[in-house]
Amino acid sequence: MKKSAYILLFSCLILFQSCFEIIEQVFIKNDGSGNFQLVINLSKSKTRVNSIMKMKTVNGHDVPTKAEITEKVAAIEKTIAGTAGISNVKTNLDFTNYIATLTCDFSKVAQLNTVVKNINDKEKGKQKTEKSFDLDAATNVFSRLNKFQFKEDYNKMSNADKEIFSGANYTAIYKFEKPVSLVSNKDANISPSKKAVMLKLNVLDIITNKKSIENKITITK
Amino acid sequence: MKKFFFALSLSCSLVTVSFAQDLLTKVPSNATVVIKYSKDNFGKSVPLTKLDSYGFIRNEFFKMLKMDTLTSMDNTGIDLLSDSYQYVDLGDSTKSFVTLIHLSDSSKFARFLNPSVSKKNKPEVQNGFRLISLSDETYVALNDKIAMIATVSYDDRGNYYDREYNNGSDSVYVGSDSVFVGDVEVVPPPPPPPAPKYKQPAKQKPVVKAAPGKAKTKPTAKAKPKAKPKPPRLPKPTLEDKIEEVTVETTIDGIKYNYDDSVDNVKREVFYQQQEIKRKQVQHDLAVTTATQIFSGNIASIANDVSYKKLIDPAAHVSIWMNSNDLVSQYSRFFSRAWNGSYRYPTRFTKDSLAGFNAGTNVYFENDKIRAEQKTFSADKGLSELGQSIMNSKQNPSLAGFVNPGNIGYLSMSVNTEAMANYYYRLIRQYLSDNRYMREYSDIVDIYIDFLEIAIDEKALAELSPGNFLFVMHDLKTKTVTYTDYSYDSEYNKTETKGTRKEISPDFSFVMETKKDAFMQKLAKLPLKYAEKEHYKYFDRGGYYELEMDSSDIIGNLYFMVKDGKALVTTSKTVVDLALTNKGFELDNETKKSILNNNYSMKLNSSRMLEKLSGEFTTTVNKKVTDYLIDNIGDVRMESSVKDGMIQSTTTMAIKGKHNNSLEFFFNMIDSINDIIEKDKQEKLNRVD
Repeated sequence: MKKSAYILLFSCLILFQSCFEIIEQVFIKNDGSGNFQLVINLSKSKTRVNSIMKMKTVNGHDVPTKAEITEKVAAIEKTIAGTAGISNVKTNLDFTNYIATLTCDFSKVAQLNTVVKNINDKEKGKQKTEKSFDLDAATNVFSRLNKFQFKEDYNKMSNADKEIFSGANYTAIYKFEKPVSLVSNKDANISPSKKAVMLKLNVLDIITNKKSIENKITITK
Repeated sequence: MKKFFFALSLSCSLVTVSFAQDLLTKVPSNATVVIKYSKDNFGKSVPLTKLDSYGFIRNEFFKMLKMDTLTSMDNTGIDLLSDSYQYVDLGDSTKSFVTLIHLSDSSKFARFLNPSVSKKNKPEVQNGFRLISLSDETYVALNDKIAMIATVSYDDRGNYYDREYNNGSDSVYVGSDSVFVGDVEVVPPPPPPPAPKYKQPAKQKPVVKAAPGKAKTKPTAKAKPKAKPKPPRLPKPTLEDKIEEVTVETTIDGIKYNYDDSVDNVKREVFYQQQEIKRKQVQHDLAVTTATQIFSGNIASIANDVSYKKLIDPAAHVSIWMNSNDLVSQYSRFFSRAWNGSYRYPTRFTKDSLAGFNAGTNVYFENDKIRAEQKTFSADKGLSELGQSIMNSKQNPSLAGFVNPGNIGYLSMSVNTEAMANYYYRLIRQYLSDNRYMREYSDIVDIYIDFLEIAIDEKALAELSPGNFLFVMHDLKTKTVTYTDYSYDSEYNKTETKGTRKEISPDFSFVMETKKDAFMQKLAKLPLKYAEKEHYKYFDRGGYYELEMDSSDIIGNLYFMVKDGKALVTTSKTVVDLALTNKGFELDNETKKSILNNNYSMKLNSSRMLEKLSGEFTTTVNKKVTDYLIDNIGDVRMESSVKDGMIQSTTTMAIKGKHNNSLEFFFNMIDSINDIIEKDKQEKLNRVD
């Protein structure tokens, strides 16, 4: 009865948009090593996600079980841990609030690109995985690049699927030991101490290429 | 082209209003669906000048029809003062959707069509009409007085692998369509007189192109060639000739340019090209056949059909008649082909074996509401009685007490489950007997169903659930849900925070009558034993059971209760308390009468539902559309019962706001919503610029 009630109710609930947030945080030390954190927070939509999790399919897509999600995240964790120069890999799945967290340490920024490539290869992703992060030691410029293009995939999506992105946000935080002198992205803010940069964007703007997550951050020598 | 055809058909249908020759006599009796747009309705309710003034008609409809926005519907050449009809004709492998209209000026109509007619497709002059091809699927046939617009399709494509590897012949399946049998054209056009088989002269045959690097041969003679005698006129190529041409051309190209392709690939490609030519030819012939029947008047019309006369009210604004037999057969065909992965397999059911119900819907655009009257009729006395016996039931008055005043909506259903079980026996028996592969074993099927009837105690089933059900959406409440968020200090250090938000939580009840209280009690008690093991919270609260939901669940707790011949599932503690004390809500007389005097009764308070949901709509455009609907849409009601020996339903949708009548409301609504969406698009564009 519980399940059938959900099926009954879900048909109207999927009409309404849901919210989620992606937080990417990179801390870079002077020697180029650092820490990476990725948080996917679906907590604001937890009632809807909770309903979806009780169903087998939604909008024609299969809904993974908690066990399947856990297994997939463990596989990703294993892939990351197997990347040279990456250490202290930790993942956390909070199925009460629907928050997924991934953290790891790196000895060189370039190793983050290898992580992205390895995951993409493992998951047979179609996206080009060139550089996503770069630290030019000569110029002391940290670059966040974006070779991923979702607009075409987004355009092919059904309206119901597109709605998912309408309330979603992306937050990037980059921290350094030395002050930042310049940022290339006009939507990015520099903290008062100049050691942190924040970029907050709407996911839909990124997908539709109205805004970019790319950023060149010049760190003082 | 589809859009154009849709717009054209709709415009022909929406703006028409009487006399002259009744086009109903031109609608064939074997039509599956017949739609009539009646006289005096549209013209009186929404004058043409008003229709012309709607922005969506000028900007969207006219654009689709390739008309300039300064033109009026009057310039289409369509007689706007006459009834028009649309019908669907389903064959074994063909489908036709035909619109019939009167013309006020056939030249204007032809001019109106002009932008959509390809220069390649010259009108064909047939016996009593001109046929204009707008595409391979869309044809217009007209004389000075009437026009037929038909979209036709042929879906009996052969399967290459079936033919090649299973020795399936392209002509194995002989459909029952009047137009095409296997590969042989039957009617019309009549078979051409014997003539020499058309062959392309050698010079005109597709030429094998020169290999790369090889010099092209050029005509060497500089002198002007002598005037050649005119070649004898060759007869029009037949379908087989066309197929032959394609075969040659593709084979040559295939061998020349696709060395890597296997012969099989080339053969397959040729095969499907042949099928495509066949498809186009059959569609053309189908359009000619349909038009010939219509314009010659040599047709058995639906006008004389007993069920059509019984079901369709000439006073309705719009009426729809449906032959459910054909629709069932069509579904069966579709699934049968999808299952077999081929269009060549014979259908599993014979066309006329499911003697069932015909349905008619008459729609009236009244001043304060849109009203749809639906009637279901079967000429088969036995089936008709069976249908009526299912409706031989009265709603239990105690169930009506669960409907609270101010509810969002409810659905009450009262059917005779024992009669329904008997109906299913008949249906299964008929289903299996009509199955092409089972027909041979119909005697075994008969015994099997008899055994089922003996084994299943339908009286006991009817006691478990006599057929009285009620669903009520009491309210759409809000529930406070906590969520985790992050806040950042001036140095962008992240801190986890807790926030709250209101979410919609439906408050509903479902109740059914039962005469097997003890069994239902056992069922309700069962989850208690497994609650701990399965990690859910299910409690016996003394007289009822409670399933506690998580805070992150959309609905609140669920209550289960079996008492006094009723099984109840509800989210409302108030309802539980009322039921425990044998009380119910005070119900207004109108609703009570509707529930108790009908087999089906439904009500939806649309504006209240939209008001409750409006908080969920976050975009400006959705909010504006919702506000418009709240202000203009009233209650939706439906009642169904047996009247005059037929199952009859009445559905109404009340209207609010400033509209002269419900038809005008309909156009106003489309126009207003279209306007909101267009303005929003424009605002977004301006922001981007």
